[in-house]
Amino acid sequence: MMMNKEKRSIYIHIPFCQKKCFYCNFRSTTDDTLVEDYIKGLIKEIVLYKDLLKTSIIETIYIGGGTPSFISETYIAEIIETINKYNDLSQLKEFTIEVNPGTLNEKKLRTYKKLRINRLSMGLQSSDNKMLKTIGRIHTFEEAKAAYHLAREIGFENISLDLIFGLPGQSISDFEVSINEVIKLAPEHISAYSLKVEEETPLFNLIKEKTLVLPKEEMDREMYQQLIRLLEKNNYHLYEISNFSKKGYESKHNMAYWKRQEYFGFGLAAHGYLKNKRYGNTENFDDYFQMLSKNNRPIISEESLNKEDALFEEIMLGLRLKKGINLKKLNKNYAIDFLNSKRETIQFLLDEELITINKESLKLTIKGMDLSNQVIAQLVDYHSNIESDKNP
Amino acid sequence: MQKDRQSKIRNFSIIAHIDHGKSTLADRLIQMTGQLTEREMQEQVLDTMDLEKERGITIKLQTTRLEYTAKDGETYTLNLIDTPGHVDFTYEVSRSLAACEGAVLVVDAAQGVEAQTMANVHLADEQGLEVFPVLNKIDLPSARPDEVIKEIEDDLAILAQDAPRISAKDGINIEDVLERIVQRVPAPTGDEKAPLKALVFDSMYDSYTGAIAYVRIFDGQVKKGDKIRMMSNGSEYEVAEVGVHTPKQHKMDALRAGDVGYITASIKNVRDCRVGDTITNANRPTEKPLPGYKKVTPMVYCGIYPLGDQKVDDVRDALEKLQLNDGALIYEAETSAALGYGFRCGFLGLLHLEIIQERLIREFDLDIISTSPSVIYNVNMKSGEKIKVQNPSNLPDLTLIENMEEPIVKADIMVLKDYVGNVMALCEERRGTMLHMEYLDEMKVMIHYELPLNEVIYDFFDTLKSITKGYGSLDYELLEYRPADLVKLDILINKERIDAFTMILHKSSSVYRGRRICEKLKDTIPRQMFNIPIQAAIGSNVIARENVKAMRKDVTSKCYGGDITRKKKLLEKQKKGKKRMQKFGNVEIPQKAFLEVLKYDDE
Repeated sequence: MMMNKEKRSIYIHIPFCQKKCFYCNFRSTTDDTLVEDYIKGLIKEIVLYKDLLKTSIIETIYIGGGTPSFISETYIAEIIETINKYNDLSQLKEFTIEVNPGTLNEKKLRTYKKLRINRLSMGLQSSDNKMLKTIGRIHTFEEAKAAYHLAREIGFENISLDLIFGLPGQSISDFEVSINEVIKLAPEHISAYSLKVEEETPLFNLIKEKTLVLPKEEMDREMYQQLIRLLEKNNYHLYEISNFSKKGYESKHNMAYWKRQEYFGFGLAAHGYLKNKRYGNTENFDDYFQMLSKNNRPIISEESLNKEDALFEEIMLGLRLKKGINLKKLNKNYAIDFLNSKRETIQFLLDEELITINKESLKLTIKGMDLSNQVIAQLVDYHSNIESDKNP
Repeated sequence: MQKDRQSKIRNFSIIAHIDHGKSTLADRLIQMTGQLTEREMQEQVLDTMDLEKERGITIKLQTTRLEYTAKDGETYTLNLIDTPGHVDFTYEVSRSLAACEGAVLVVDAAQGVEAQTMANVHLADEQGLEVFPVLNKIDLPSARPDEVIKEIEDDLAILAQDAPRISAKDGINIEDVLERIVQRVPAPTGDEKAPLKALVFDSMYDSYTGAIAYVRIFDGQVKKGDKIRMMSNGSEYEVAEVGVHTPKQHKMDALRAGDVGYITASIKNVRDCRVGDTITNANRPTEKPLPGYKKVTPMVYCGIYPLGDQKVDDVRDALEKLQLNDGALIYEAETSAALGYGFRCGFLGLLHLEIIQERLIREFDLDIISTSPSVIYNVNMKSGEKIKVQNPSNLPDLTLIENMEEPIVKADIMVLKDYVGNVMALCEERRGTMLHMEYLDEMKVMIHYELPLNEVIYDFFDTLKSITKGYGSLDYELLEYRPADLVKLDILINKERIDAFTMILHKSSSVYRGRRICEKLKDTIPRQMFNIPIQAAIGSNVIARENVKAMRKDVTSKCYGGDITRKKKLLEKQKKGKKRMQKFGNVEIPQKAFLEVLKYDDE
């Protein structure tokens, strides 16, 4: 019997770290006594999705965290074997694991390779050791470089390096040094994130009590522009607000998010999108175990998307991409006339040089990317006819 | 027989300076006379509005009937008519006093006599009431009853040696107060057989029964089915119900001379139930109405406009309902270039304005913004025409104006002598002229000033309180109009004049005020995607400018683990935030900015 199979991705969350970085507010723990139970839980969760796994074409897998490379590689193998029971992964194009240079060794890398992991996402963050220490990273730049070269030797041909900018005390030239060091390493992909100081992180407190000082907004944006300039010059193309790659090395997994394709989200605090429903797993270990022990999916929030939600997402996600939104497709899929329905807003955004429109696509300018939340908020607002409903 | 009945009635008010414990005493009296069960007895029963409880002040008056068996063995009916305590509500105090024969004067045994104590005693005297004092908060360590007794006798010329010394909060000596009411407040002496003569001292709107008139029967009687006439406009109604408040509404067969109670008569038009009116029997009318109340004239005006999606009709409905039991509030429709359709409203003072604003927001759940408050100016045109301007943006072109006059008030400010310097500095800054100053005793000083009203309406009272550590008190009344060197100050945001911010003020303070307003707006207007110049201008002359710098960065650089929902929620929140702002061209101005501009200063 032939089944109608749908393309789906898989995200797997490993919420363990050797040490928490000072800026991180994401769900992870340093308590490694939980690892074994967690992996058991994770496997149980995957089994609960077996029917859907069987009918999916899996093109990308992404193991994120936390620090997936912190836990033993045998656990990673167990997870993959479980998935493999229900899906042959024959169509797998990209399989990424996030690694921290301070937790890598040859054995781990070789196992990853055997498991068909073909892409590493490595948190390098900065080439400045003092800075790395300030933000609570466990590795030096030299160790990161060594891990990178080791991965190359073992045969990883697609490596992405992460950078963070707008770090406390960082100057533009400091950041340029990091960019140039990364260019020298010649990875296929670079992600660069502007530091966001989240509440209830050690960094938040250090900044609040003025022990650390963040660069001004203007400076942060200059760093971003400098980043784009230097990377473009070296053939890394900005294809999404925070992502650059050599030609053909755009992250397929992330692209699936931006293009609103469906994906499984496995693990604590993981998010997924299946059967037109977005869902989120519990962020609490006890609840996670509890729910799974009753053979329930550990979901705590779920939202079916109607047409309006889908359009909202389409705009929100589409504008993150350098190539922007395809207006022709958008108008057709949602039976709207986007530009005309938001004429005044569009004009304003054009005047302020926040967006550009050519023929079929509407996209953010660099300035528009800097203010993307503002721009998107204006474009997704469909009910702001203030003038007309105020008259008596 | 009827004289005998009335001899057991006492109609009284409690008067006091704000915070001296009037409402607490009222609660105690209700509790002592057993009108409510313990469960029903909430703190400050008579303050029914949330706002009143929160601010600890009484705005609207309430009445309640108490049954008290005195030491002489007789049971008396005590009708308590609560009064508001703030300077803005003098009018409401006078309404309640006119319905009484006596008043209990509550004086804080620590604070002593204050400006409102004197003002209220004065009002009670005007009504010919029997006033006797009570010393409250006697249990406070800072209480100084002997000195306060001397103050009362010296400042108010009221004997106070034998005043009950009570703690309303702890229920100490409350019975003394009840006894004193029976002994001191004269019994009513109306003629039950005479034609009906009832004074409306308050009214309320109820969607089921129509307007409810709170009345004091001076002569005659009224019962269900009677045909009554409102003497001010001759409208007639059939009585649906009469009763009293205990303080719950309690139906009665009839109200007779001397009684205090309520009448409902399906009065759908609130204007037919005006406070101060006299109700009589349509078939057997009385000849002359009771002397009316002091007519109130609003002193402060401002525009109130719907914000965002709020409908102008909702605001009108709410104002109409508030007006029913707040005769001092007036409003009329107006339009603003910046804000669209709204209302120009008149108030007794700035507190009254604030309270109406808050009631609109809380009780009616409205999103509104108010424009800068203003007084009424007399404008003499070069053409010889004389006009009154209450909306600053309606001020004619200055080249057409010969001169302008502003209202001046006579202000009585009472402070402890240590703060006299501060108060004088404040009054000088607000263009005041000192008339004279008198020492009421070793500590207390009464300072008499003439002040322009437009200086008083911008948080003068709050400032007075803060520079006197809370001890300063204020009472004022309109004196006259005087010529003044006034200018119109415009505020331009992103080069557009926002008429809601326009104000008329004295030339001497215009530059400073303009600068402060620009600074405040700069701090309250959130950064947007472009630079926003803020300017203050007199005519075409820009006197101050600030700039809200463009936002440079608002980007979510990472979507953790595909958490699209979180990002969506963030954006939705951002979208919602915009709803609480008013859009002028492309600039969004939050509600808060409008309130900030009203404040005089905070340095």
